[in-house]
Amino acid sequence: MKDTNIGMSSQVISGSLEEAAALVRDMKKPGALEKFVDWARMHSLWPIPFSTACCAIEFMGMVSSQTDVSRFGAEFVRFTPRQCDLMIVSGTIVNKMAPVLKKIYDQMAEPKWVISMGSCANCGGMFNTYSVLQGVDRIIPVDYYVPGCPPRPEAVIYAMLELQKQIGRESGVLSSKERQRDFWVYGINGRGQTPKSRILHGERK
Amino acid sequence: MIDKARKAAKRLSAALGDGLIEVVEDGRGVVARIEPGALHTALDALRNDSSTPFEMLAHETAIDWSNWPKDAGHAKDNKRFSLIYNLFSISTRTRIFLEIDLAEGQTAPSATEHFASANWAEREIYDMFGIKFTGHPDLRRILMWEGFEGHPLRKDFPRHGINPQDFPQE
Repeated sequence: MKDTNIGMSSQVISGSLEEAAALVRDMKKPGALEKFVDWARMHSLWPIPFSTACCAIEFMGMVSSQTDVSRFGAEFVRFTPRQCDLMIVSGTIVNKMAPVLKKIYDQMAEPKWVISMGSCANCGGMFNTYSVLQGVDRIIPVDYYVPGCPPRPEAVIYAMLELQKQIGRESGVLSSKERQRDFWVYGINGRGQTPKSRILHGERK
Repeated sequence: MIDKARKAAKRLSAALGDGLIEVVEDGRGVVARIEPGALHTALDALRNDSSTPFEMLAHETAIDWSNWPKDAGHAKDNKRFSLIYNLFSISTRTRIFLEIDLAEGQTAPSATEHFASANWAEREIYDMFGIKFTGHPDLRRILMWEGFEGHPLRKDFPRHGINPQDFPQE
């Protein structure tokens, strides 16, 4: 992904036919199929919004015409988890909502990724109280944290572009469990644990 | 409007007798402080008042006075909680407040037989303050989940809860 103006731009930068042709040409090389799968996945993200608060308004701005996220290959926001592979948690998650979030995450098809959008989803934000989940990473694994209260649409698009780069490095893994096996302990009704190290999946040994 | 409320308070004091502690006026308007045992009579009298019938229970809430000085305000006489009933007369646009003081662990009479809107309000008071109501048809928690420990709006409730990271059971 080159440097692009992710604000106001009509430039379409999602995967080009030339890229696809080059990948198909190299298909006989070892690991080429995985590369092709990565390429296909990174340019066809299907986001599901888990929108519970004001970050949802910025999310709507992100998918509508001004900062059009569909330029980057993540255009169809679907409202059933079974058709999605990218969850964008935008908003405050209260403890009463936490099992619902976990269930919807579990219903998403593998492989799946999560962007935590805004301070509330990252760490509870200003709601440091008995009723608010102190970060969604206590119950589901998170790939990218977008700071802000709320973050601008460009910031979330930037996270999505970074996520696409990461997916491009993942060499065709099948499940998110495979990616997160050794550093992720999460759960609900047990004591949720924040990860010991927030190593990005692609950089993990 | 406040004249009508004053007159209604006078008629209320005639109906209650000893059940009425005092009638005060503050920033809210006319406030009648009554004994808990007189609540049913008071609500019945106000609802069926001849000239200003208070048809609507606009709000019902509670206050925990436990972090107040012992000799100030409602905290004296070891009454920890106050229940506040905000009654509104739609036809005459008049508002009146009832207050009852409760000690720790004391149950309050439920207003649900007079006003259906008291149902959820009293569930919320039970959830947030732990005040129990006798005669309530369905006294469960309303905001927090079943099995949550503690009552969050009590002044001695820790900000992070008694069991932090306690989630509702599926």
